[in-house]
Formats: sequence, structure tokens, C-alpha cells
Amino acid sequence: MSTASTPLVVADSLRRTFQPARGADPVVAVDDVSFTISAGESLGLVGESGSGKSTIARILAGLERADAGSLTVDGRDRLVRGRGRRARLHRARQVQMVFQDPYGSLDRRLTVEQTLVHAMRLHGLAARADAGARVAELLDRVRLASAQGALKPHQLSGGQRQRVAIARAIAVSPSVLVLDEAVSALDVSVQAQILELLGEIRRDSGIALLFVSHDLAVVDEVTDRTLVLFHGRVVEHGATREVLRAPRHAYTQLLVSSVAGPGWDPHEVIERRAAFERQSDAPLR
Amino acid sequence: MTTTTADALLTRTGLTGRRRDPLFWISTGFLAVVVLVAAFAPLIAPYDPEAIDFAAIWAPPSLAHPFGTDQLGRDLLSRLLLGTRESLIGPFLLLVGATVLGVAIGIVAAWNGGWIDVLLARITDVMFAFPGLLFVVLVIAVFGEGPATAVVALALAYAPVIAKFTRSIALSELARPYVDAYRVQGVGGGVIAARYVVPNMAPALLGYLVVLFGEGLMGLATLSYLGFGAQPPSSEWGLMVQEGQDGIVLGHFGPTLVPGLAISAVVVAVNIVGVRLSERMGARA
Repeated sequence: MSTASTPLVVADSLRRTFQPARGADPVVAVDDVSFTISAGESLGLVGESGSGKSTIARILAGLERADAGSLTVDGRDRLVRGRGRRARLHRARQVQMVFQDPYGSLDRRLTVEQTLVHAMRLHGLAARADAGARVAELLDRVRLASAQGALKPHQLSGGQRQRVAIARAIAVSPSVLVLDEAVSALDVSVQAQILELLGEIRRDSGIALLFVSHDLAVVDEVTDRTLVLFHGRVVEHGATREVLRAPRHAYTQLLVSSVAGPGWDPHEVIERRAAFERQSDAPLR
Repeated sequence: MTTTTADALLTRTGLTGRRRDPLFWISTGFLAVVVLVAAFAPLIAPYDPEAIDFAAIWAPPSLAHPFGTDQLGRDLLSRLLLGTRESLIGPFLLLVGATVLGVAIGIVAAWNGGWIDVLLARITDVMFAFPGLLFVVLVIAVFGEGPATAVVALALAYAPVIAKFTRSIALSELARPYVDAYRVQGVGGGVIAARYVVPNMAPALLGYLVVLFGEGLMGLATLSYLGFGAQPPSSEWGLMVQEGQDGIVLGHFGPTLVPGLAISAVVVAVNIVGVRLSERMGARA
């Protein structure tokens, strides 16, 4: 277990470039990004599309490699990856992920129950005898009726699907949960329910969250600290309250002032973006 | 109330469209009968298909010989019924072989990209540019004629076609986040591909493979007709057509017409079923 002095997740100088096409210039998606997440803490990653936030989430979840830098979870290196089954399963029990598309992230052939049992069996967490009880417990934790266990993804609503995805992720009791735009595809009222559920899970299990979103209001709701990313670089980092209420960096100010609300003027936002682009000499995507 | 329940039930079982599609059901029924005939051919056939009767050469249809006899006085009905076996098993085996090979190559190409993908693209380019029959005849020239070689040769010719088709579906299937979700859970790449991605692709592949079965049947019949496939005294339909054609100039059309019509009927039915299946599966995905 991590102690108070060493955070659970330590990312140092992560870098990742992509080659869009053969012979094309590589695109730097993540550039010298460092952060830590303590046990039970929730870290927000904000930025616009292409800012590199999803790439960081995927690196932490093990779906993407990093070209440089280091990343440890609970003291274990996640970038130097053992290829064996044991190493793979161990990595999976450290970090789980919830995706943006609740329908696409579930195997449409499997019922809710089969999905959850599969996740637990894989990690030897449910014997045949008590699998049913474990599934019922998980469904209860994500506030789904036990009868919904027999349904397939296409028979569920978006919010219910995302609850299943969350149940699947916490089924293996990970220490870190990565949420990549996990509520972005949901209606506002459903968003609120899912956010509340995430808060509960965090309180109950002490799980650490990496919460990726372009929606500042949502990030404000669920995170303690926030990193603001711009073109793969961290431009601002601090307590979420301060970052969002008193942004220091020009890009954060732009993000915060671009949020639609009462008295919001789209022309003004466009103007400000243009001014920022001139200033920073870097086009926004 | 009753109607809505019935409608819901029909929609759920996916039968609505097919119920109103008599052509699909007639074709399916016909193919089912053909398969049953193949299974029980020796019991149904009135004569030994290889029994030669010089007293009844080129006999016209009669009560004793409903379809008449061929140039050796063999009963055409019995030969047709028994021939169902070799005529159906050949394309079935060739399809199984080509599918296993093609799906494996296609999914590996889609998953890995890189040189495997390039190699597949080149091979399929060559196969498309090169006359299929010529390739098959080349294989037979090297390995010798006979039904087994014909099946293997055609399977090798079809595998790249199936691989290319599989690759295109696999690319979109692999992009679905459930694949990433399995990876995050710690499932290995091969297992994800074989156990989860392939079954999810199966509906899209099915109709295509059914149509290919028809092509395979034609292909094998053609090879037998040319003397490269089934060998006498087999009553494979393509061979029957070839053996019967001597009678045409003498006005005996039956020995060619009967197996020829059987081939056409099965291929037409298979095509109808395959195309309708593709349409339905496409509508569902």
C-alpha cells in the first residue's frame, strides 16, 4: 500500500508522439506531463479536443504506451510491461477504465450479469457458487435492479449502460479508476446521477480517480485537483476550485470564459479564441 | 394490447422482416430439403447410382426412371440424389477451410497493421488480377487432380477474398471501445480476437459466406466438369453434366439438364438466403 508520503500514481515527464502518416511530421500528443494522484483523490484533466487528455488516460490504463517518462502505480512501473498473463492481470487490477461510449464499451452479445461475471472470473474473484451473490452486490452498488442483470446492453438506457460499465470496472477492486469523458454522452440529469454514484464509490472504497472531461462544471463537481492541458502540455495545475474560479493561465481563462451559460455570447468567445491564437502563436484545434 | 405484445415479440425475435419474405423462406426450405436428401440419399434413392444397365441406355423419363437414365443406363434420379452429398460437402469443406484461414489472416491484418497488412493487400491484389480458375488449375497441375485437391485449391483462392472482407469489418469492430475494455480488464489480444471480436463480427460475415458457398459449389462443379475435380464413377453434379453432354447431339438432354438444373437451383437459393441475411444483419448492426 502507498503511504501518505508516496502518492498512489506518480507520472513523471510523460511524452507521447504519434506519426499521423508515413513521412509526415510526428504530432506531440503528450509533452512532458507530470502529475500525482493519492489514494482516494480525484484528479481532473481538462482541455479541448486534441489536448492530449485522453492519451494520458489511455497511457495510465495501459492502452497506449509512452515514448518517454515514467509512470508508477503503487510503486510499480506501468510502462515497462511484462507480457505474461499474470503481469497483465496485475496491471488490470491496479487501474480500470470507464469509456465515453456506454453502448460501445459493452460487449453487445453478453448480458449484464455475464459481463460482470466474466470480469470477476478472469481475475479469479468469483467462484461458480458465489458469482450470483457478487453480481447482485455489484448491481446494488451501482444502483441497478437485480432483474437488470439478465438484460443485454441494447435493452438498457445510456445511464444504465454506464452504470454497468462502472460496475465492471470496480468488480476487480482497482486502486485507480480512469474515466475518459465518462458522462459526456449522457443527459444532464443522468450525468448528475452518475456523478453522485462516482462520489459514493470513492467515499466507500477509497479509489483514486483520473477524471478526463471537457466539461468544466462536471470536473468542478467530482475532482479535488485539476490539470489544464494545452497542446499536450500542462499549462495550469492546482486545486480545482482555484483553477476554475481564478484561472491564471490565459488558456484556462479562455476555457472558463467559453462555458455556455446565461449571458453567454458566442461571438465574444470566437473573438477571444482568435486573440488567444494570435498571442500564443499556436492554433487551437 | 395483443397486437403490441405480438409486435414486440416479433421485433425481439427479429422475425418481422423474414416472415413477410416468402422468397427467403422458400429458399431456406428448399435448401433444408436438399440437406435432408444429402443425409438420407442412400435410403431414398430407388437404384444403386453406379448400377449400369445396357438395356436402358438414355431411357426417357418413365415410372421406373422418373428422370430417365444416362449413357450407361444408370438411373439419373438416384445419381442426382447421391450426388447431393459430394456436391454439398465439397463447397462446405472448402468454405470452412477458406473461412478459418481468411478470418485469421484478416483479423491479424486489421489488429496489427504493419507488414502483415501490406502483405495481405498485395496478395489480394494479385488474386483479384489473376484469373481464379487459372490459379486453381495451377495448384491442381502441381498437386494432381482429384476432389481433395480441387477443394484445397479453391479454399486457397477464396481465403484472401475472405481475409480482405474480414479485415474491413474487423477494422470497425476493433475500433469499438469494448475491445479496449477487454484489454483494460487484462484479456490477451488473441483471446479478445478469437472469443469476442469474431463472434461479434459473425452476423456481418454470415451472409457473405453463404453467398460464397454458392460460388464454391459452382467452382467445384466447374472443376469436375473440366475433369480436375470429382472422378468417375462419382455422381458429383458437375461431373454428371460433363458425362451427360455426349447425349446432347443425339437429342438426350436429360443427363445434362437434370444435374445442371440442380446446381442452378441450389446456387440461386443460396444466393437469395445469403443476400437477405446480409441485408438483415446490416440493418441490425
